[in-house]
Amino acid sequence: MINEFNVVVCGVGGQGILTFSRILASAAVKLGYNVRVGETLGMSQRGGIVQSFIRFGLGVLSPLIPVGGADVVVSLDYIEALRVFKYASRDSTIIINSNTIPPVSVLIGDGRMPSLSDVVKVYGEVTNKIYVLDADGLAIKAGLPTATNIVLLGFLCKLFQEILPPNILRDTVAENVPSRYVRENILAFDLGFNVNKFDLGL
Amino acid sequence: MTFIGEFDLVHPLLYPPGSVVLLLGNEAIARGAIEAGLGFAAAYPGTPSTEILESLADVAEHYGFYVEWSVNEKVAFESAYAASLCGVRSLTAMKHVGLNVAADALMSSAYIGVEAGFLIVSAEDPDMWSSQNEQDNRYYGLHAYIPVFEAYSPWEAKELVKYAFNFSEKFKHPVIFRSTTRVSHSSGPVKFDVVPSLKSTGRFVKDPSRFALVPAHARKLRVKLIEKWRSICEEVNNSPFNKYIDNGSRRLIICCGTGYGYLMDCLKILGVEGKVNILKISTTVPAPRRLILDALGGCDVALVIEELEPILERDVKAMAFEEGVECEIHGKDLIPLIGELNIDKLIHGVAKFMDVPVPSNFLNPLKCNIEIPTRPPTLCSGCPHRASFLELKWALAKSGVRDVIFAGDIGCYSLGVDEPFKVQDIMLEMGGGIGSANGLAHASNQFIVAIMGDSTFYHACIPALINSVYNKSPMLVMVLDNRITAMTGHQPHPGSGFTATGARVDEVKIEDIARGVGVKCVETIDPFNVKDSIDKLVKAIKFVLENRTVALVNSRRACTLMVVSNARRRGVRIPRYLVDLELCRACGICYNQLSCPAITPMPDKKASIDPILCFGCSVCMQICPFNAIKPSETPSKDWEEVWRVN
Repeated sequence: MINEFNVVVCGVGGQGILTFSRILASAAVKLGYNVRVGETLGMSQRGGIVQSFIRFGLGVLSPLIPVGGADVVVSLDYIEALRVFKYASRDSTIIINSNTIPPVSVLIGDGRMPSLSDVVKVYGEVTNKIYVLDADGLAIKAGLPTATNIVLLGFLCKLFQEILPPNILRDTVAENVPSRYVRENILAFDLGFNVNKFDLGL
Repeated sequence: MTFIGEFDLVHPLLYPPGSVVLLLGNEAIARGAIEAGLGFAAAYPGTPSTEILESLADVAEHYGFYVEWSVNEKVAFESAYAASLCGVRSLTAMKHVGLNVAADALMSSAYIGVEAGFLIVSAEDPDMWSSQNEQDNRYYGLHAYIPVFEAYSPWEAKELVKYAFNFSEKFKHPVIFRSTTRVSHSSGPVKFDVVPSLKSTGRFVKDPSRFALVPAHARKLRVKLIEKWRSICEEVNNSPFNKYIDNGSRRLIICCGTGYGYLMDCLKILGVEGKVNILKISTTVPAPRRLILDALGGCDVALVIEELEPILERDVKAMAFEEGVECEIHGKDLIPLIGELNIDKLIHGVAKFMDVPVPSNFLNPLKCNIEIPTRPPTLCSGCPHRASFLELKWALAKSGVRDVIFAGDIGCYSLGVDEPFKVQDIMLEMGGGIGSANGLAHASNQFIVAIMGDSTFYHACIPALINSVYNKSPMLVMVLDNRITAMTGHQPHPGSGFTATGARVDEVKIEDIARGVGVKCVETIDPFNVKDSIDKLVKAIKFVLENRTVALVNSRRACTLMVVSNARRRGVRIPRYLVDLELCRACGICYNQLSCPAITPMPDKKASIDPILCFGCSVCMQICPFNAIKPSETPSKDWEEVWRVN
């Protein structure tokens, strides 16, 4: 059992961030941990920012992760990774989907669009554990384009197998997605889990 | 530990006793009420309270209690309160500002008291994630002589709700359960207990000397209330949710609600766990005097940690003064008064109090040195409100009306505050638009438009509409009727035609109400029919100008998000629209004036429609002056059908 494990997940409303959190947190409950999930939603269904904080461990937990407190940052949209930068430290692992939903502000010419390499550079000054993957592409390969979140969950599981046993996480995926899409979601999880370094965008 | 979740259709509140279930704070509050033998629940939706009644409604049939979405918080309060007087355990839930709407009933309920346990859940929103203010409703407890209990986590919330029901019934007195965003909208494991047999109907035993607040009765009840309050003040000292951790220190930290979780994290990070005495309080109003004085007694210095107002802090200071306790007491001098607490904010005050350094990551948090583009919330693509706003502005222009004040209201359409619409010049509170429009109509010479949603119309606009008719206030009232309470996630209202538990009922029509209260010009428009909508709006504007009184236009189209999710469930194809680049002249009307997120300009300023975001509303096609936008396929009959949701 580990003392404390903190995951920040971010992206845009509609990307399945809350499902990601629920699955990870449910798996941690099964593993006997105390768990706390805090979410920052605002008015996310309407194109806004979503940030979710999943904390598990032993003892009392508050629902928010402190600055520099993330063991892992998972970003379903590479631009959104920038907004949670303050939670990272040199011990953090950063997992980034290589795609973005361009903010409307950029499309109407109000603000510059950071590139993926800008984002990698920002994090690169803090940690060398940065993984960029085409999770959208793998989700399409799994037959379910909306399963980007599950691909990233599979990859997270691969990196932290000692804390998150793959069989337990995989079962929890199956229990928390609509029954008619279980097969595709499991495939998405496995595609994320089996990503090797040649698939990574670094 | 029992594992849950093998069946993805089982509602989380239906797991058997002994299960450990990952619950949202609001679901935990609901589960606590069920385990307390809840028989009746009524609420009006509002972030962050909505999921309490929503989850109760999901399982109402299974457990056999009564649930309703009431028309507003006042009616919800009165209904649940009356159920308690019949001997039925009852709950009402609302967001913090909702309690303002119910405040009149709240004050009286303390005089009369209750029969069966009655719980008022006030879900508050420090930091205003989705609210117009961050008022602290613990003041209502002090104001009304009603106890206020608060939890720090979902698991404590469930247990505290049960305790609160028993407390309420023991003292025959209402209890406020205060939650905040970080309890209501955070999840954690909750262990389920047995659900007792419940009572959903009882009997009202007449006793006017108690239940009818005429002055002669109220004066006597006021005396009783103060007596009762004294015994409540004594009883809270015995609450098992107030916990004293004596670490043999001369320092004491007193905390309540969410403060406890953040404090424990801060002490861990600062490496001073076990180096300070802690008094954790869940019965903040009234503050447990004996516990506080005992804890203060052995200490030289104390710190009070609470979110928002210094309510506990003032009580602690008063007690220390009254009893001559020699202890230096800190509170909001070290803990932020504004916004919600978190570890980052709390750690500075706690470190100072504990006389230890703040770790460097908190002093110099990482800063991203490139500019991050904003993502302000916008109306969804295909939202009928967007079309209504465009039509309203075009109709005003066509009528030659230039100097317009838009009195706005609370709902999705509040997003019309921004460019390009700017149709929310004033926004006070739920139902406030038409009331302020009434004042504006008489106190200015500008043209007044009051804009409100359908749920808001039923909630608090009808008396103001009557007022405007009666006082002949020239204004255009525009109702954006998307058939549902959309902002909070699609709860039904009296115009939706179904109840909280899905039973079909007759609609109460907005147009019937308007005609019934004497509005002489009542029009219904379909915002997806642009030309007809503008014609009718022009007609209504003309009526206001000529007759110097009220006209009402109901813009009726179901919420696109709700329709699209129905279409997907039923396998109905959604028609997409495309831009013919040969015909597009890059005028920008579609992306500048309609500003649908699905439509974006390309480098040559011609329009492009994202087929994933387009929900086939067809409005862009209708407003394109060059006929450059066309559907990818002819919309099917099923597609037309799916819009007629109710």
